[in-house]
Amino acid sequence: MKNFLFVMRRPPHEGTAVRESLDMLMTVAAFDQPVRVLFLDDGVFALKAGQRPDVLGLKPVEPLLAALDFYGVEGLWVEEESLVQRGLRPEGLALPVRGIRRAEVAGFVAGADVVVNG
Amino acid sequence: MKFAIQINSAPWGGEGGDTAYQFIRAALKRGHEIVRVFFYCEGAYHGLRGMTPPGDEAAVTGRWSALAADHGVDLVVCISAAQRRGVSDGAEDSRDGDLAEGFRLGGLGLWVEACLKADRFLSFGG
Repeated sequence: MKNFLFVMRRPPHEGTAVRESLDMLMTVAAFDQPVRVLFLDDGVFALKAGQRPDVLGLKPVEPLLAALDFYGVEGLWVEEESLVQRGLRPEGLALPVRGIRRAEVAGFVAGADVVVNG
Repeated sequence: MKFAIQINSAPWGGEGGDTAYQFIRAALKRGHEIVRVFFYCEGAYHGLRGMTPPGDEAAVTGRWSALAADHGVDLVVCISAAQRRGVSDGAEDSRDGDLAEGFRLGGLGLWVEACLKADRFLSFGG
């Protein structure tokens, strides 16, 4: 048993990177390993509510994120400073997430056995 | 120590694969074990056998094949990443496979398994 942490730092529609990270995440969860997700930097844009990527023929990420709870993912965290710097507010997010201060991130990451760049 | 390695960048699109290769060589030389190398995202292109770089550049794919032949390193290209990018092992369609010697296609479960077996997981190329 290992604790996995996915650190999501890329915006949601920059190629397939985010979707491919979520595929990994769901595989880890399917192996019954504890998984946490931390959204940092431009990664926080994946959480913004009201996105219509289908207008551009892109696949939405939000349903995948919403399904993580079903997969037994322990929780979603978001760095508060990353939200503020991008003009996003917790109430404007599509999913319930827990806030974490930048000063706490290093300790949070250190607590994981396997850290994956999402 | 046992290492699980992941490579996410294309062979021509960054230094991830090159750095990983140098790391693995150094680790093996010091007696460490490489549980598996998992090629994901654009890293899937590392397995293409048809790549023929100019003679004065590193033979990217060939040196991975040599690593597999000489040290038994398990080189797995993620099957879903490969299918998305048109990289085939020939099993799923009627074409000849695209993979170079020493590479095989495998699912993400092999990546998780490698992480669980290894002491350290290292990801290269984003």
